[in-house]
Order: sequence, then C-alpha cells, then structure tokens
Amino acid sequence: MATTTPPTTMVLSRRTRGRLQQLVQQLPAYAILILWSAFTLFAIGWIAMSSLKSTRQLFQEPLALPPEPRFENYDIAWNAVDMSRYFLNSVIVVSISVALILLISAPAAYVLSRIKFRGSNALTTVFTAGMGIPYPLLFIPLFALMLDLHLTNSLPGLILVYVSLSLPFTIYILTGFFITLPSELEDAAVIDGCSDYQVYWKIMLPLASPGMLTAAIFNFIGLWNEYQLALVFANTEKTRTLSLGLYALRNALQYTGDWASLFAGIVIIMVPTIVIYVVLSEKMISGITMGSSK
Amino acid sequence: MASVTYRNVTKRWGDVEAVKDLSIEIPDGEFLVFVGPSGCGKSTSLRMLAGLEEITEGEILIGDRVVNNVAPKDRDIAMVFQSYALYPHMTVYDNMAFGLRLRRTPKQVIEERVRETAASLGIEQLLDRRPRQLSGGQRQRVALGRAIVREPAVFLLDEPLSNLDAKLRVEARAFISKLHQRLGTTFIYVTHDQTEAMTMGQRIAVLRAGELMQIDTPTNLYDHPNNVFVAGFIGSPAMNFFDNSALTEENGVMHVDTGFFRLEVPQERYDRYRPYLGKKVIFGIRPENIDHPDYQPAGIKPSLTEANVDVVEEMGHEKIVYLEEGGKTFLARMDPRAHVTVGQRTSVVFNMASMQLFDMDTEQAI
Repeated sequence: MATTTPPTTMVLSRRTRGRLQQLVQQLPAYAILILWSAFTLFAIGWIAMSSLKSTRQLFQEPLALPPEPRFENYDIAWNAVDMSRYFLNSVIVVSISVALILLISAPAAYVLSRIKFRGSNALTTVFTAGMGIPYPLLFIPLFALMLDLHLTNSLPGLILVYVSLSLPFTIYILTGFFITLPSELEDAAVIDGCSDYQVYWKIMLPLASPGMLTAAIFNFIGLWNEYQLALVFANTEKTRTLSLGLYALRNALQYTGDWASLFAGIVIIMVPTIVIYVVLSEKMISGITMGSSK
Repeated sequence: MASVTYRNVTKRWGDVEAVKDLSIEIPDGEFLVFVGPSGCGKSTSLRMLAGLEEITEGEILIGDRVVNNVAPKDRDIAMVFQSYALYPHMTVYDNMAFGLRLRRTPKQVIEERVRETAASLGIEQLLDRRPRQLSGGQRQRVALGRAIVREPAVFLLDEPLSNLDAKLRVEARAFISKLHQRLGTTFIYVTHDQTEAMTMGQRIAVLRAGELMQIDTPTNLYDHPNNVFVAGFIGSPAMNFFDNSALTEENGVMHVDTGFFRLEVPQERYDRYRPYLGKKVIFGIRPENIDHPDYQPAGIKPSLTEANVDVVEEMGHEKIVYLEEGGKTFLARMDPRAHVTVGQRTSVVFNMASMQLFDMDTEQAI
C-alpha cells in the first residue's frame, strides 16, 4: 500500500500542475477576451440605454438607467429622415447582393478547388490578389465605369459594385471549404448517375452549406455596415442605405441637438446584425472551424 | 451480369506510366482481386473500368461493349469505396435510393428494393439514420447496400475493408464472399492485403509498378509463383530467399548450395533445373516447409541441416522461429511442441518438394 500511494499522488499532482500551467498560459488570452466582451457589452448597453433617455437626462447622468423609457426617440429617428426607405433600401441591396455573391462564388469556388485547367492557378491568384486592393483606389475608375453604364446613384448600380467587390473574398473562403470535401463523394455520385451539374447541386453544395452560411453572414454584416461605396455610388435621397441614413440623421438632428434620438437611430441599424449574430453564431463558428478540423 | 476485358490498357500521367499494357479477361460471375503494393496501379485499373479515369491506350470491355467513351453511369457498374463515400447529408435510405432516383425508377420499386436489400444486409433498422450516426461496420454495409440496390452487372470494390478493425475485417471478408455467391455477379476487388486477396479471390491479379506480374487462382499463385515478386508478396510470413545459390550435380545427385547449406533437390526436378547447373540462382522456400526434425510432416523428402535460433515467436498453434546461418536470417513455422530456445543450435529439415528456384538475373521462376 505504502509503495503504491506515492506514485498516485505524484501523478495527480503532476496532472493538477499541468492543468494549472495551462490555465496560467491561457490567462492573458482570457483576460483580453473578457475585457473586450465587457467593453462591447457596455458600449451596446449604454447606447441602448441612452436611446431611451431624453437628451437632458443623457448629459446630466450619462450612466444612470432611464427613469422612464422614451420610445418617442425611435419615432423621431425613424421620421426625422426617411429611415423606412433607407431601411428598405438596405434590405434590398444587401439581400440581393448576398444572394448574387453566393450564386456566382459557389460554382466558381467549386471549379477552382476541383478542376485543374490551364490558367486555373493564375485565376485563383487573381481572385486572391483582389482581396488586397483598397476600395478608395477603385473609386474613380469604378465611378467612370458606372457613369458609362448610367448606373450611378441607383440601387442596381450599388448592387453591382457590392457583388463584384465581394467576389474575391467569398470565392477565397468557399474554395477553402470545397477543398475539404472528399473527392470520393463526387466519384460515388458520378457512378450513381449524376451529371457534373447534379454532382454540384445534389452533393457538393449541400455539403458546403456551413461554408455558404458563413460566407453569407460575413457578406451580410460587411455590406449592411458598408459606408464608403454607398456614399460614392448611391448618395441620393431615394437610394440611401441605412449607414448613409445614419449620417443624414446626424445632419438632421445636429441643430436640435437631439443626441438621444441619434442613439435610437444607431440601435435601429444595429438590431439586424445583432439578431443575425445571436441566431447564427454557432453555425458560423462551426463553419469557420470546419476546414481546420479535417 | 457481364464479363470484363482489359485489352492492352495503358494509363499515363505525363511521363509516369501507372498501368502498362494490361490485358486480362474476367469471365462473367468471377471474383477477381487486384493486389499489389501501393502505387502498383491496381486502383487506377479499377477506376479506369469505372470510368473515373480516362484510358490512355487500349480498350476496356464490359460484356462485348467497349466502354472507353461510355459515361460511368451508363456502364452498369457499382462501386464501393475505401472511405465508403456515403453522402453525409442523406439518410441511409436516401443514400441507397439515390442512384435509383437518378435513373427515374418508380418510387414503389425503389422502396421495395431498398427495403429488401437492407433486410438482406441486416441494416433495415438503420434506414432513417445518417451516416455519421453509424459505426464503421454499419457504414460498410450501407456502402455495400448502395451498390447492391442498383443491381449492376459488375461490382467494383476499392479496398472496402481497410477502414475496419481486424475482427470486423475477418467477418466482412466472409460476408462479401457470401454476397458474391448469392448474387453471382462479377466482382472486381482491389486490395493491398494479400490475405484478403487469398481468402476472397477466385483469381488474383498481382500487379507491380503498373505491370501484371501473374494472374491465377490463389493456390497456383502460392504453389507456383512466376517470379520472385509474386513468391515474396503472396504468403505470410513471406517466402525465404537465398540469393547467390548454386546448383551442383555430383554422382547423379543434384544439390542446391546456398553457401552455407547443401540441400538435395528432388529427382523429378533434375531435367528442369539442369540448364542452370553451375549458374547463380535464387533458392526460395516457404517458412512452413522448414520444420524441426521431430515434427516433420509425413511423406516428405526432407533435407537435414543445422542453424542457430535467433528469435522464437509463440503463436499457440505454431512457432515462428527466426533462424540464422552464415549471416542470413530465415523463418521457419515449426510445430508448437518443437523444442527450440533462443541461442541454441538446432537441427532443421527442409521439405524440398516445395522448393522454388528463380533465375538470378530475370527473377523469373525456373
């Protein structure tokens, strides 16, 4: 008995030590993440809280809870500028863009990941390089191009710009997904009787759906918050998207100094993004890590 | 039901010849096994038959139809893959029904066939599950089921057992053999495992570096290998080879001389071996043909000699003994009662009736 006890305690203590060591190593990462989350939650909470106060309350007691929620701030934000139109514009532009982006990127990524043809590597490189170009560099040539097409200050024009500029990134991440799918599945499908087209639609695309979802969410959030391109290509009363709308709202409210309503405007813009995160975050995380685990 | 013919088939990738001038005729209903080490071209040969790889030269026929330019789906074949390749997003039922649906088989017929096949494979309770909820053995059966429902003329199996653990593999081997007997269809099976090949194949095609080394029944491959490669590949533990041996004939008695043994050659082989007198040959003998003198099988013509015992592996039903002589290690499968201990010098008998000789230069059997 006496001889067996020391090894067990040694093993245990070694294991505990290992665990402790691991914890100490991870501590900085956890500390940063906790601080970051706390800051973000505070910012969102504070904005949401402030949107329910009056501007006077906001300045007198910036950190206090609203004594009674002022929902009329939302009314003001929604109506001071044509927020309903901007909201609708954003929904239209972003949803059509995301749909088109996926419709174009998925087959492109599938082919680039599977079929080696003359120039396929060069094409992949071109797409990847496309991610590195800063948008402001493209403003002037793109604007000239859109002018020629008579598509400036129109929603279709903005959609076109969004779709084309989002392709490199989307193709890049989807290629990563398709590469991880086993090619034996395609062989099996071909022998089962699929045409190339059916292999893509019936087998590969459903299997890539976590990747598609991830790509969709990234694009949705990116485009929903996009400001620069919208400012250049769709800055009219009729074509403004929400992010431009927020700017218009700031302009409209700056003379009355109604900061509380401005916060209400921010909340209106944040809500769809947050909802998407809450509903789909788990799928998105599993989508991001799927490629690495195989 | 159909025969399969490879007619001078070659497959090249750039400068690399994966399959060289392969010609095989596989009669209807045969269970043929392609076996060989990795990279020998066995999978490529199968994939060309399936239509998954293009044929560089030559022709492949299924029945009497040349299928070089026929799409895989029109070749009337079904294939079982090493990874099973079950569609992860479909249930077992849908996996099995997929091929039939694509062929626009009536729903009722699909239902009937899938249920019947599932029942025959003992997987009917799994039909609503998805592949990831199944064990390895179950997935393997589903993969077989997916091939069977299609009622193809030829079954192609590409290392279907290599993802199973040892015990399941033995069961699955018998299962596939029975399946072949029941269906009576042509089976073409690829494996790198000579045990699988020996236990399942009616004929075995041994490939090396894209070349067909020998095609024959398991017994013939085992007893009459054409060359050193086949002799060494088939059988486990592998055949012992003694390079640089010499044939001698004195006073009407022929011996094979390894440099440290002189073993008497059976008389009926004299005529065949006489042209090689005085030349260097490779002498080959299987471990089971080397035994302890006390337990030598009855009715053989033994040739007695001595060797040092290096290692003894107790298998229960036999002893694998590593013997050493003249710096050369060779294996013997001895009776479990044989008294051999490590470091000891022991008498051994060679059953020369089963000896093999190979040409030193061409490595072909003499």
